[in-house]
Amino acid sequence: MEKILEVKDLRVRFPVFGGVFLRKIAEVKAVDGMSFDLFKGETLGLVGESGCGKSTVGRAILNILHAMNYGVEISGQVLYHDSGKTVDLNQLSRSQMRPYRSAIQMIFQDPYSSLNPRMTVGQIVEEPLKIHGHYSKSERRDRVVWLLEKVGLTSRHAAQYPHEFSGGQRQRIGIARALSTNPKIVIADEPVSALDVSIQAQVINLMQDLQEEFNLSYIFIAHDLSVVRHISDRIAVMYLGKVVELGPGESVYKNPIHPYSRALLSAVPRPDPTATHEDRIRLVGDVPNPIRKPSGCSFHTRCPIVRPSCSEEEPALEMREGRAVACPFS
Amino acid sequence: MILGLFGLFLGIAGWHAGTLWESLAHTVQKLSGASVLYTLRDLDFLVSTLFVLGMLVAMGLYSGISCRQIQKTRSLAQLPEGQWSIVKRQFLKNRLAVVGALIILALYLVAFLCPFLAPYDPVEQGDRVQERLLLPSAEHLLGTDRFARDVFSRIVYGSRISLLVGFLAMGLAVTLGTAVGAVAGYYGGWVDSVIMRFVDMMLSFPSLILIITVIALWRNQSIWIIITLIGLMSWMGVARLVRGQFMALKEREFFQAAKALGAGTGRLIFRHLLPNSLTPIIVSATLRVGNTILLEASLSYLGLGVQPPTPSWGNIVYDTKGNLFTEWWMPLAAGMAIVVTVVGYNLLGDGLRDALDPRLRE
Repeated sequence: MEKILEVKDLRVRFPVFGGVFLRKIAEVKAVDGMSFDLFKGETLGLVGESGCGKSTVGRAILNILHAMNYGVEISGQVLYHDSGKTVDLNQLSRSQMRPYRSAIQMIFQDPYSSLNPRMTVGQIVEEPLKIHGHYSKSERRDRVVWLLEKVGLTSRHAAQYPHEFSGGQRQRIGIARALSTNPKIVIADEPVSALDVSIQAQVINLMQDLQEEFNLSYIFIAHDLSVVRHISDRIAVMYLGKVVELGPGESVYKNPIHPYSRALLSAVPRPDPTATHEDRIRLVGDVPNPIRKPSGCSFHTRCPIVRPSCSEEEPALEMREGRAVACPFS
Repeated sequence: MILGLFGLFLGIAGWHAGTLWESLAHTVQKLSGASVLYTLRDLDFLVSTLFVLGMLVAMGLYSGISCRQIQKTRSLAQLPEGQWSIVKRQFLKNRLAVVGALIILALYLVAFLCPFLAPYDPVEQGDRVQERLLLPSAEHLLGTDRFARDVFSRIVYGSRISLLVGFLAMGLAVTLGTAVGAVAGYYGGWVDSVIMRFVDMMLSFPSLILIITVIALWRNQSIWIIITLIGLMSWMGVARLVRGQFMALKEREFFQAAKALGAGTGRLIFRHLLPNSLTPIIVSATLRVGNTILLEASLSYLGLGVQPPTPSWGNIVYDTKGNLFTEWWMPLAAGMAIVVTVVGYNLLGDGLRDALDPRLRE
């Protein structure tokens, strides 16, 4: 399989300003040394609890964090491979990045905030074509209709405003927008968590159909493990800005190795009322404050199998049973 | 609805341009000296007649277009209700807001139609012996002042100054405030810090005193300078508002989506951020008009605003304050005109805010 994206030791630090002169008094290490690969045509599921840096990873790959956060520091490499050439997206300036933007697109979590309420659906889907394309007006219009039909809407919807649509329909509009520039990689940031369960399946199926048709690679960010399991070829489990376990979807889901993955997966509700929850692992306490991360293994404060050496040594990812795990004791 | 608003705006802007032109013509007339080709009153009539004709044409056009629109919507089956029609319905539900809108509309009509409504020339002085300080009567609805001028006509003509100042000073303040706030909110960081500290500094100046000082130094009390000064002293609130809006909108996902698409700065600001900040800008602009009118009235009352004999509500109060205990209706009428206008604008602004805010809808 061919690698399309390689993330190497990605670190994202948000400064915290305070005091009279708004100096930097601390920093939040939202992403703290993430490394993973994305292969052509696969879906990589990225899971972890809220605040572990999942969404930040997606936005760092897209290189849009600078616009929203003053003083954010990003280090590491985001290597994009395309037809033999390799580019480090993290090194590119805003104008240099522009040609690559059409290749990497994003589907957002909240369908109510991801569409500009003052633009019609047609304008929303057309906008990327205006920015990137060398299309004529009529070509753009044709493509908008074609895209809307691809995601299960009709050309009649193009003249309407986002507030006239349901959540599921809006998410379809968001997908049409993301696909309009023929991307190679689509980063889906919890695309279905704001939708009803019945609609979730529709949107997921649509995403899978489109992946097959256009040979897309997905980075699928979610906290709902059953959704991730359904769509992912590989799953990466994140804790406090780091990958703790990365491997093939079914095996990670069925037989997690890292104690955090195990705890996370034992929390998935089973659709079986008679099943007992004896095997459920309950974690104690909250996620530590990412401003003051625990030393050593950042999970040692909550780990059920903690050893004294855990607070001293930071475990590296090791290959075990066909996947990478960051815990030597499990 | 939008078209109607646009038409109204065009009308207002056109009228103001007319006033500007009028004052230019006046200057030219003065400079060229002797031969009086036409009097100001003739010009007034001309402008008013043009306005009435223009309004008729605009109304005809508007009704024609809306008829066609209704036909179109009928043929397009049942479309969901548009954003603007919801806003219109919400606004019409609010009785106070409608009253405010009617007051403002009526005032603009009065200002446009001055020559038809005012029975006398506002600056013409009658017989200083026989027609001085007359009691209100059928001929002089509010009596005459100490220069034997008809007070009612002066108040009618005074509406022009107040509305002119209100509209233009507000326009300047909102344009300036939006530009400054947009830059601060969009770029953030140290740009934002520098700009906002400057705004804080401007806000801490007592604006009336500053304006008085500048006018005194300038030795020129042209209405345009007053409008500029008032505009320059009241943009800070809008700047804060727009900055806040931009900062909030930057967190919204549609902005991040546009960013991820590689949209340029211009597109981000003018297609994504500004259209979504328009609602609070419109509301604050409306509410601000009242303040600028009050500021102009205060300046005129202090004798630093519009200079006599040009009537403005502020200088009418100033002129007639000596007669407060005998001919009390003169300052009272002018004062009431100010109060009604400001209240009208505030009611309109409140109503707009409620109608445009989806959270306040039932």
